[in-house]
Amino acid sequence: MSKSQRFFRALLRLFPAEFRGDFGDDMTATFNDQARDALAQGDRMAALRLWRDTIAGILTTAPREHLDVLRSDVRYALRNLRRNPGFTTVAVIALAVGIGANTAVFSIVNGVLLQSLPYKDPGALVIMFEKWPNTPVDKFEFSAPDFEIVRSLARSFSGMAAFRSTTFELSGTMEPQRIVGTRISPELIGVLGAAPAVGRGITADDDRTAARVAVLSHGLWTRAFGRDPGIVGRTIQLDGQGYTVVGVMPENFSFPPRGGGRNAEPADLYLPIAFTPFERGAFGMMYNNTVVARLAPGVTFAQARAEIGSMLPTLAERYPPILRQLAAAITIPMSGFADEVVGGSRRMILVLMGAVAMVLLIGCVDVANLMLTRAGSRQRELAVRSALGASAPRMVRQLLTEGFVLASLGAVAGGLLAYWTMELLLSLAGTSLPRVESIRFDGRVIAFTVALALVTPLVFGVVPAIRAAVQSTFEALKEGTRAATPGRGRHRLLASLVVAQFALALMLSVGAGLLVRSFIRLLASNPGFRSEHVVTATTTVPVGRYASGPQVKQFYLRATDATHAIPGVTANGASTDRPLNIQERRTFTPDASARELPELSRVIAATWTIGSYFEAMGIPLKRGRFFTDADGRGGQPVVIINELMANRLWPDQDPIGRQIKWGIAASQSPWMTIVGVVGDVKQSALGTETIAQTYEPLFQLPDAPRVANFYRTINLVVRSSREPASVLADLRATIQRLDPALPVTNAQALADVVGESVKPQRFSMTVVAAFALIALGLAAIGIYGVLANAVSQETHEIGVRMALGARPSTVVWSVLRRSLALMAVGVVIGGAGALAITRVMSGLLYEVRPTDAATFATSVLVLAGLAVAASLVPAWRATRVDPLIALRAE
Amino acid sequence: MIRRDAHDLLPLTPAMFHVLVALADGETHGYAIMKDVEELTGGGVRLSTGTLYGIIKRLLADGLIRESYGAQRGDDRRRAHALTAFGRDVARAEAARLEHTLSIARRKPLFRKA
Repeated sequence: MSKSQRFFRALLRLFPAEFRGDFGDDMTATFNDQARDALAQGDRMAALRLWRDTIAGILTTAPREHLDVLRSDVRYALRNLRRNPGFTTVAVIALAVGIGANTAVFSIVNGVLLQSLPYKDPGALVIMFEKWPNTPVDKFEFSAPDFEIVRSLARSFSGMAAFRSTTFELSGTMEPQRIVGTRISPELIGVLGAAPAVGRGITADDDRTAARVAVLSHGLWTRAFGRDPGIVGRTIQLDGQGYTVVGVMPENFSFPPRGGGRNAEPADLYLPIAFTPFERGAFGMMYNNTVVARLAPGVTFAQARAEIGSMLPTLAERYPPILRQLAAAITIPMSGFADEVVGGSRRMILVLMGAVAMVLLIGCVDVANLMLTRAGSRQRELAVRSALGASAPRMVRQLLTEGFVLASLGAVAGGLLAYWTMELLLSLAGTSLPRVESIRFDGRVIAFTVALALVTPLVFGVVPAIRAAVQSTFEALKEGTRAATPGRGRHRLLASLVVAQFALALMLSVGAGLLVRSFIRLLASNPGFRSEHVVTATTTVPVGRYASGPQVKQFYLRATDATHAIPGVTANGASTDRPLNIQERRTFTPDASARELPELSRVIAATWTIGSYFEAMGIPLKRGRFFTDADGRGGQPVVIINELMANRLWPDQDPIGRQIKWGIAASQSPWMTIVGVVGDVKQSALGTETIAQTYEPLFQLPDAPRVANFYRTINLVVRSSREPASVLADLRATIQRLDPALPVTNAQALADVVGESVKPQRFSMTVVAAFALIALGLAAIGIYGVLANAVSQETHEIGVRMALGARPSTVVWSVLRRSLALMAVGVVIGGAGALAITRVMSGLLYEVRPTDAATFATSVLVLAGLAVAASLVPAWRATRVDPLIALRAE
Repeated sequence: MIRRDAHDLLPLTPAMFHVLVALADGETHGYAIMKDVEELTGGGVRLSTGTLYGIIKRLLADGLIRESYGAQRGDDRRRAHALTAFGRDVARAEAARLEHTLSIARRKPLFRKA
């Protein structure tokens, strides 16, 4: 063969094998004729032209021929699937559930992890915190002086901005409503690469002069002002004070992004941060500004971090001498903005993705099982096709096409399933997922589903297809009329698929079991208070009508008195923070009697209370006394500490009568006398660490208006003998009666507050458990299918044994034994797999080790139950075999 | 056999029609068809091997042509193809269709022969 002939033959391989078989020789002969004539002309151009035309012709016709084959294969597959509705339904459902679950979870992965933040070049945005080593507080925001020092020194950034969120009462437009206002440095919008859609942003002038100006979010502009085009220049009322609207942000702008931590709720409007002279000098306190910065072009993250690290000594030097030792320990951790927003959710989302991947795998094994089982009954059909000249590769192609058709049907059904499940999933997640707003069905999610439809048939279809095709060519038509008994090889293959299902199902149920156990532990963990029969609600008194401290305090007195009059109330009080959400952190200095403690571990939580707060919350008194009405109104300042703090500072003495004060040793704050020790209460969600804490009477706080702003928001707590819902209604009515304009928020039973604090855990547990149940169901289908098939193949043998006097119980046991044996192998493999993969879950678990023996044992029991349940029907059917009929069938 | 209506297959692609025309004089093999088509169209239509056999496959499947081993020369074992009766009908019907289409166009001065 000449070189050009060989090349032409190679080109022919682009055609489907069938076409090549039919016309390959003719085409080669024709091409030879053409080539000979072209050569005879002695014209190099003619030869080149021939090649050009030939190659172009093959490249255009070959795909069309493939499409032809595909079309006929799809038609054939559809006809086949229609003829076996049982097989088709089960296979499509198994695939739809698997693909649907994967699509739904991938849309979360896509929205939260893959989608970049909606800002310009978000990869260059970083977020910074301050940190003291060995403190009970992980990391905290910036104080105003620290921010200004770092900003003036840093050279690695093209811009750096601070922001801080608070809530305001927006009034004058409609019903007064609470909105989130974020105070921002003038650079912020530019750092994010955004610009207002209407009007202007916050300028440096606004910031310097502390101008009362506001930039609205598109959402608030729409909601409260009906997209009034003349909004710029209008005055709005925030906490009773007039602010001029200077601009509106575009619709797609949302900041800060939702995601754990402080200052992480999308704002309704933006105001100048305008640090006051007091804030600028607030060294060592008021660490509450989040800092975001953009890396300068060409500067890497590592370079920027190194620069920040190198400026720490300078930062400490700028502190007042008395605080320098404290400041020298400060570090500034920095992370990518997106990483910070996603934070701890990444692990949870990846665990979910792993769970659904297993569901899909189990579904694929189901379909592979079904196809192999069916291959037995299909053998004759395939043998006929093979005898009629279909080659083995041709039949593999045909059978794979059938797989693709099944997977496509599954993908369509699964896509719809996912679309509907998303709503459910998102409502379950609530705000426990960051960036919920960016989770949706977009092109990438659809592409993912299509990819699944293309890949899954390779997982479940290749082995059955090759086996079926190869067998049919070897055994063409040689079998008798009886359905071919499966070969030993197929038996082994089916058995190993069942083992695989057991193993996968075990891994998934161990994972789910761990999350469930951890969640139960979490719910059973003691928050430090008794939430039954307690309700709570929050209100905020506006600056406008309650300008001074005494006015605010006066209102609080009236409110607690009025609340006490609600029928059935046994104790009531109030505090500055909501339970499980105590945000205030302070440093303190104890008197000389206390054990020497490094300054850095003197960061503690602090709360201010009114009335019988401890009794209402059910916080137990350990020593001394609770506050009385006399406390905090003149006389000696008093304080109650938690047990943890008492044990740490006065391990061998009675702390009652000892004193502490706020700030460092040199601070001018008054000494407060400890009058009581109470039980430890969680400052944040269940499952978090408890730290030292103080309680003071709120009335002990100064009356100055600047301080009064600190306690404008109060959280009422009511314990009663009545049903929470009706008490809540009364509580709401009581506040409204006192001042109808006051907003009442977070009105909840305390038990619901506790429940809400474990919402992320509840979400991952519920979802993984649901997927595990689905997986068990799918595995049961597969196991049942294989066993039922095996029993029906052995009808003859069982009949013989029964005829020879075997007892039904013996027959049942032989079937059961087989499935339990398969399960045992699956448990060993799956157990090893579970040990390997549950390790990644340790961060998600509370007081449960990933190797928890009880969880493993329970999962194995569940699987054993499943194995028995799935074998019972086939086993029972085996005992019903009539020996005569079985033998006659021969 | 069910009688099929030749008109069901119309219109043919120009390349298909040319192949039918090339076979009108009697059975012949691939390379001869290509040369014939090229000659008949004055070099205007040049079929490549791929295109030609794609067409032959379709014409065979539709029963317009059949394989023929009658006219083998020497050791040339390649198959020749010949029009079936149905193929002849279809070719004629297509020619009539083209003629009719053209006659409609000719009613306008723009399409009249000079």
